[in-house]
Amino acid sequence: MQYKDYYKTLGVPRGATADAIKKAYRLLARKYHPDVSKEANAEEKFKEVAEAYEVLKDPEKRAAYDQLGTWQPGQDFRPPPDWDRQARGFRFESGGPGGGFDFSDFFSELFGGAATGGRRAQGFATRGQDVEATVELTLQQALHGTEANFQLAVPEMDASGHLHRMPRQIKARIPRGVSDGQVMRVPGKGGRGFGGAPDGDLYLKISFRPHALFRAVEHDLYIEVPVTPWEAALGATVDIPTLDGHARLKISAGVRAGQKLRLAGKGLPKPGGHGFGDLFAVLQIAVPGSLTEKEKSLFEDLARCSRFDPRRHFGGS
Amino acid sequence: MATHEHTDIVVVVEEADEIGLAELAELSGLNAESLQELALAGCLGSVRGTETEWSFGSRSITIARRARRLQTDFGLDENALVLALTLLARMDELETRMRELECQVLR
Repeated sequence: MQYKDYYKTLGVPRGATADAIKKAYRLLARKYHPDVSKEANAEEKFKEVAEAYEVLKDPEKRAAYDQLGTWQPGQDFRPPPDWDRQARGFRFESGGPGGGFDFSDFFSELFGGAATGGRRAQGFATRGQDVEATVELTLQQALHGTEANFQLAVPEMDASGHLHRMPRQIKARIPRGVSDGQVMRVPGKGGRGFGGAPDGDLYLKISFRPHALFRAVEHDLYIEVPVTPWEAALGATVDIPTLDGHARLKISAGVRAGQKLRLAGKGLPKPGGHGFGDLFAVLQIAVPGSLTEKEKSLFEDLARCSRFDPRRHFGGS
Repeated sequence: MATHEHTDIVVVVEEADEIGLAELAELSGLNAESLQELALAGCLGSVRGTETEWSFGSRSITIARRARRLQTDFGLDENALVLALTLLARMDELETRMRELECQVLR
């Protein structure tokens, strides 16, 4: 197996104090924790940091690790003949940082193998790990339902109690009626259980790909509809796109910018066949960027004869 | 070590039944008291039922699992955990909105 330099992982010298090790871990945990980090490979890096801290925070494990001697990271390595992990009786705590369950072969061989092997010998059963994945859908796919294909690395324990990430191809049939951000739990489709314990669950988070025109909020859709000043003032009927075609939108005279007009049932399907959400047309008043001489003259006439004051509520100030 | 090949798993995704507090504790690794605090603080998403008989959907489970990871990995107490979850949820909303706006600007 290949040697792992835990001090280098945490960026501390070999003689670092416990406090310095703790501070280094906290700094790196904030940087790479998969729930808060946007760094590339954050999950993988966090696992390395968590594993290093799991050993170096514990005086016994740290002392045993130091006795392995100094090796180069990645160097082929065997523990010294007199280094006997069994005699040390290390305990594998699943409550440690990183969940304590997905450590490297290096860690498992030196600090975890005895514990997990012992557990297995005692008939210890471990529920399979839960697995999370995000499935990105277009609005069209959400409208009709779809099949999503993707690969996951699912943690599974082998016969000797070591954890490995096994590639698994998933074909998920996503029904109509899902909404953005929805999480769907699929029981028993996560990592395999050990020792007769149940398999873990698969959690699929639905994420809608942004659309150029429509915004989804639950099962409703929103579209910004620009109208001309004369359409807003006089009223009009305009064509707007819907997710599966077109619709005619009747605009009453005197509408305001930001006003929402509802097209019932033109949104996304609701689950269980319970109808559809609505489409909301949000009106925006668009002014021409440049005017012909005639258009300018007409606007100037209107400015002269109109008594409309949109700032009347400002008062005299 | 035996080699493992890819395994095709066909999954029909349906909304699983809602679960109670005890099952949520089991699935998330948090104790019932912590979950109650998070539910009362509004951190577990949509929660149905009364305080004596709550039911939780899949989204609550993933939030609770996230809470457990944050609590374990950062040593957060309950107040800090509520704050962290609230801010992370807000960040998720803002990032979603930002992606939508970027898409519309590019049009």
